[in-house]
Amino acid sequence: MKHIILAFFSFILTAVVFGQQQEIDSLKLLILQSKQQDSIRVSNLLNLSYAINNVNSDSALVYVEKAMELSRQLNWNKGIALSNRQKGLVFYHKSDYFNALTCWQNALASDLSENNKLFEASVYSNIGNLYADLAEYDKALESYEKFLGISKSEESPKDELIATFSIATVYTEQGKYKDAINKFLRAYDLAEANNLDLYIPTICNNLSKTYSYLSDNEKAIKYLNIGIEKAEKQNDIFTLALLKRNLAEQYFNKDDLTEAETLLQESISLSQSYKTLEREAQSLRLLYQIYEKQDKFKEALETHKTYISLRDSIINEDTKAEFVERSLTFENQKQKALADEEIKYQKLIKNGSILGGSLLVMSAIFGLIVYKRKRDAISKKQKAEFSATVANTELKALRAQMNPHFIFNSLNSINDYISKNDANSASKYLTKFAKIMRQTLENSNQKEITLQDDLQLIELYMQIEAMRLDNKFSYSIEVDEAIDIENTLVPPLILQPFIENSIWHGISKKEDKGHIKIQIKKDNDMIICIVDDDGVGLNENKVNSERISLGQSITKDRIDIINKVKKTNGTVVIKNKPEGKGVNVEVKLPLEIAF
Amino acid sequence: MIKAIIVDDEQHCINALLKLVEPLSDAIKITDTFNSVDAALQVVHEISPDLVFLDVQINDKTGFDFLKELETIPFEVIFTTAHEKYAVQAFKFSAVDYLLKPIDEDDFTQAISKLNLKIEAKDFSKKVKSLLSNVTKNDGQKRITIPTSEGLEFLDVADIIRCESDVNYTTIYTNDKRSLVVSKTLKWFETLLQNAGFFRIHNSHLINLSYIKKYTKGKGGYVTLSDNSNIEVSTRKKEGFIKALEFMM
Repeated sequence: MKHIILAFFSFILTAVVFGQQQEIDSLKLLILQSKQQDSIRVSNLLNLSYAINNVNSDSALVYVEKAMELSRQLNWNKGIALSNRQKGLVFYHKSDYFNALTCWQNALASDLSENNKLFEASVYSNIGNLYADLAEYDKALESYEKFLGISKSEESPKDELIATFSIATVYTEQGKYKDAINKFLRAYDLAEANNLDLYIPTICNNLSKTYSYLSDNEKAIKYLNIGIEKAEKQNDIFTLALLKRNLAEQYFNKDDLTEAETLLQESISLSQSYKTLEREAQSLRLLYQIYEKQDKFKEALETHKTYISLRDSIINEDTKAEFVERSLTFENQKQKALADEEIKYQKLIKNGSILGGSLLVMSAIFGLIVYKRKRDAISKKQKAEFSATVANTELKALRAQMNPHFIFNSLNSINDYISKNDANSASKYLTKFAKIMRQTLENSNQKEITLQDDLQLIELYMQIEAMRLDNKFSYSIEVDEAIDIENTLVPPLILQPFIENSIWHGISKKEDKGHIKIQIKKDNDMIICIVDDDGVGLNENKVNSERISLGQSITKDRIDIINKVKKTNGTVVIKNKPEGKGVNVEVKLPLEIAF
Repeated sequence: MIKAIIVDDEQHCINALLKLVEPLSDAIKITDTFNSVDAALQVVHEISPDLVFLDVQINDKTGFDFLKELETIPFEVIFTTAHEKYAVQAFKFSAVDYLLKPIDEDDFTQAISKLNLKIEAKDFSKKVKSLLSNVTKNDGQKRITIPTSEGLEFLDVADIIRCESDVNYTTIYTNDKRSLVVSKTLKWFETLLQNAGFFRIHNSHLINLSYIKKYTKGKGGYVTLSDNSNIEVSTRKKEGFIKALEFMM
């Protein structure tokens, strides 16, 4: 595409190119001479920029900037617009499409008081070329259509021709060969009708190329010949060389090698005079192929050598451009890759910090929970320990209350003996009492003693009480075989108050002898201690008053505390046996094993 | 017939003892009574009694002072005391007989009958020697007198690693890898040794806490002692045992 468009432009610019250097020099001179800061100077600057663009685009940019600045100073809108158009061309030449497009759009946006449709048309034409270069064919066509529209309404056949030709070229690129041919023929007609023969060779060249795409070789050759005829008339060597080479190719394809060779030789000599290396190389390549086919090996070799050396010099230029382009692309890609990497890295850091942060928060929460649980457990334990201490202290206090209670009861008994003047018995009683006191004191330091020790103490107690009452009662102690008395723990003297009650309120009031039966049984994880007497029984009306001794209420309190601490349900049940045949007390305690 | 004397500073105590002996006049005769240690010391050789009822606190002296003054002790001694706890503990360690005042008739009769059986024991001097050293020492430093089938055995409490129960007998394991079988219950040893760094970790085991090498946790866990024996700790005793260990450290 580029080649085609370039070919077209080069032909348009032929006149300029020819006298390029002279024109530049004369323009420079003009600018130097006229010191006037006016619109003419702007035009001169723009002309200079246009002329120098092919040689040095950087200088072209400098001149166009100067023109722009001057136009602004002069407040000359058209100057600014023209400067924008030229500036766009400079950028376009430097392949800076983005800036080119911006400049041209600025040019189009300029509010021009005069009728400047043709100016607009030229800008649209430029924009169309740019899009065509970028292979944005739809956009290119859009611009070209506007260009065509304006040229028609402004009745400018030359512009109409160029617009039509441009559209046709785009169609060829798009593969719409039939449409392309129609447009090319339209351009051809326009050229003939309006005496614009200057354009015919190029139109013929493109037309023949499109026909050859459709394999219509006759038409292709026909239009090439027309083109050559016109070009020769106009002395357009540049296009003539191209046309002759293309015609040679057509003959080569038709195996008319002699004709092809002749045409090529002519084309090459034309090209050489014009120093168009690429065109010359293409011709040489075709010529070498012809020699090869004609078995003219010597000529073929010579031609090939020339072709290769020419091609290499072209490639060098091309590769330079390509290298720059490639390296630019590469830089782009590299930067994009770097940016991608950076984005990835940032993402990673972001994700990482989110993850790390949430982990930190989670572990902190977890730690807090663990800490709280531990603290709760500790405070719970402390609370439990504290309440256990309180309970033990209470129990100790209650046990301590048991001692004086017991001591004073016993002292009363001794007093009773002495008053009866029975010194021997009093002495005997006293020694037993001393023994029981010793054991009681020892036991009262412990919250639990073995059942064996407790039963010994109870027996000793019943012995001395029986002694005191002249053996008015007998006693028996029965322990369930399931109970290991050495390995079972009970609170000391828990039964004593009930036995005391049986003796003093049950049996002593009875006329004949009585019997107290102590039974220890096991019921699952409870131990049942029973005090059973055959005394006078309880006076039902007084059950809740005086018959409940101090010792009994202390015992009940002790069992309540044990229940609280050990979360058991120890009970005391006191009941009359039927028909007033004595009292049965059942004390239920949690079974405690020492080992 | 047992020839006995009483050394006690309180006359009513002497009277009470005399009264207790009365029913046993066929077996035992009180020849003399003394109110002081010195008075007794002066004539004890002449009298050469078989048995001395010896009070612990005699005025400003003690029954132990009386024994210390004697080169040999060719008689049995039954201490009489009201409440001296330290003395009672020493008697128990040294397997020396004692009666608590006021003396219970049954206890007295039992003591005399026991005396008959071992009147020939010749190593009473040794017992007294151990007693005299035990009186002034802490439980952990005491010597324990153990009657075995071959006679009396004296063991430093600190040398006992552990005691194991076998119904009414107890086997004592010492740190010189000996074992002694004694006809006393483990409970008896437990009461004797519980203030000497011993702990009953199991129904059948009483151990010296200072010989523990390792405690392995478990339901109750078990301890490894210095003789590499592994002894189970009863679940119910675990808590108390760990507290005792912490107390030691």
